[in-house]
Amino acid sequence: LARVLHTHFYSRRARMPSYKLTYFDVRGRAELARILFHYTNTPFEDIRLKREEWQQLKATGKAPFGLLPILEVDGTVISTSVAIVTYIAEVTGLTSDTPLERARGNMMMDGLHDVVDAFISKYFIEKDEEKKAELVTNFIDKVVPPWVEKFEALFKQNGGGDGWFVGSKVTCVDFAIFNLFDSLSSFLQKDINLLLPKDKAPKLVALVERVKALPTLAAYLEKRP
Amino acid sequence: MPSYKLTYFNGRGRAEIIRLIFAQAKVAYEDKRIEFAEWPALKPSTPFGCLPILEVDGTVLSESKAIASYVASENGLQGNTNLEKARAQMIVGVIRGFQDTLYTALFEKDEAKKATLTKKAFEETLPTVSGQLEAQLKQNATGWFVGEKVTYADLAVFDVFSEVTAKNPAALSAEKTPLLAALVEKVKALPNVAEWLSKRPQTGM
Repeated sequence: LARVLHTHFYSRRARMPSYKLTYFDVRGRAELARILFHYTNTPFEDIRLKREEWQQLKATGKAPFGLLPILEVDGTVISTSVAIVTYIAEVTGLTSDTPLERARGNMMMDGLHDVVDAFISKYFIEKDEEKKAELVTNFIDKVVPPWVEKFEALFKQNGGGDGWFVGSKVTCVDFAIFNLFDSLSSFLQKDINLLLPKDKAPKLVALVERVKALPTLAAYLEKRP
Repeated sequence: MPSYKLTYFNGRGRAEIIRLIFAQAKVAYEDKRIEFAEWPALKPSTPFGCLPILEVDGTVLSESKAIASYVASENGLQGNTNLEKARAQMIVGVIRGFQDTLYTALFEKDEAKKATLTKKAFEETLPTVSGQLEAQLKQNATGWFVGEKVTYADLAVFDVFSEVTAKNPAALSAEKTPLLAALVEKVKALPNVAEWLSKRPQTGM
């Protein structure tokens, strides 16, 4: 009997896939994925490439669409940060319970992308320093505030905005909100209050604090590159 | 079955992927098409000030990719495993990214800039993306992008390529990307899709 049980338990134990995340040695489009892995204590290889190493990897065609980040799951390669993050959320239990809640969460993830996508592409193309500064000012003063207003309104639809963004447990959306404003603040070298003002978005500000205080995340934030 | 109401302008644009998913799934929905003049009044009531939106028993969803993913997942068109869903989402993201590139060129007001953007989209981006999608089809080896049956990834690629080839037949070459060309034909021939294609409103975009 002991032998049967031993075999039963060892064959039934779920083997965790091996996760390998590859990106540059910056936060950028991979940081949210790293945050989700760290928050859930999910082991993963956090590969950070130098430019030359990326050129070499790119030439192999391993990245399906010639871009980083990529996530390798037991050999299958997933590309695009949205698909990577959605996948990690699924396998680590950071998605909502109902299809509609998940859809609201995905809508929010897409919205967060929409805030920065146009700005980031223009920012890296712009070589003129003055125009670059104008882009940043326009982004902070004109682009971000309407989005913050909409996000705050959407958040308040969920129980007044006093808990997590979607449903009643923490999901990847909460981390995505934290990561967006935290990354932007760091990238632009501006105080996060400028991007997420307490008087305009009190619920979102409180949410960001709530996320930062989550124990395993706080530990990662303290020691991350 | 919830009640679905899709609101968009009178065109295919960013909503057509959702209509194709509903069609393939044979799920009834209200296909509301508004005039541009109606939009300013409606805009403030939408989550992000954009269309399309999908109302599901009162909940309002925005962002066409999120809506597409939701409708696909409710109707077995998202992929079966988490990995399959991720691959499908990746492909939809990429082809929609290409569609955005086309729209940016299309709506550019400066004629010179428009010409440059359009040229780049068709001469650089399109061949690159086509080759990458061909490789994905080859890797999956079933004729579909994901798994062994049609998913919304196939519908999304069909949507964009049928749009592109309508005005530029040479944009999809059966010699250069045989699997991709075959995929577009396969989707067109799906009975539910074919039915929708034959009866959908004929609009400029």
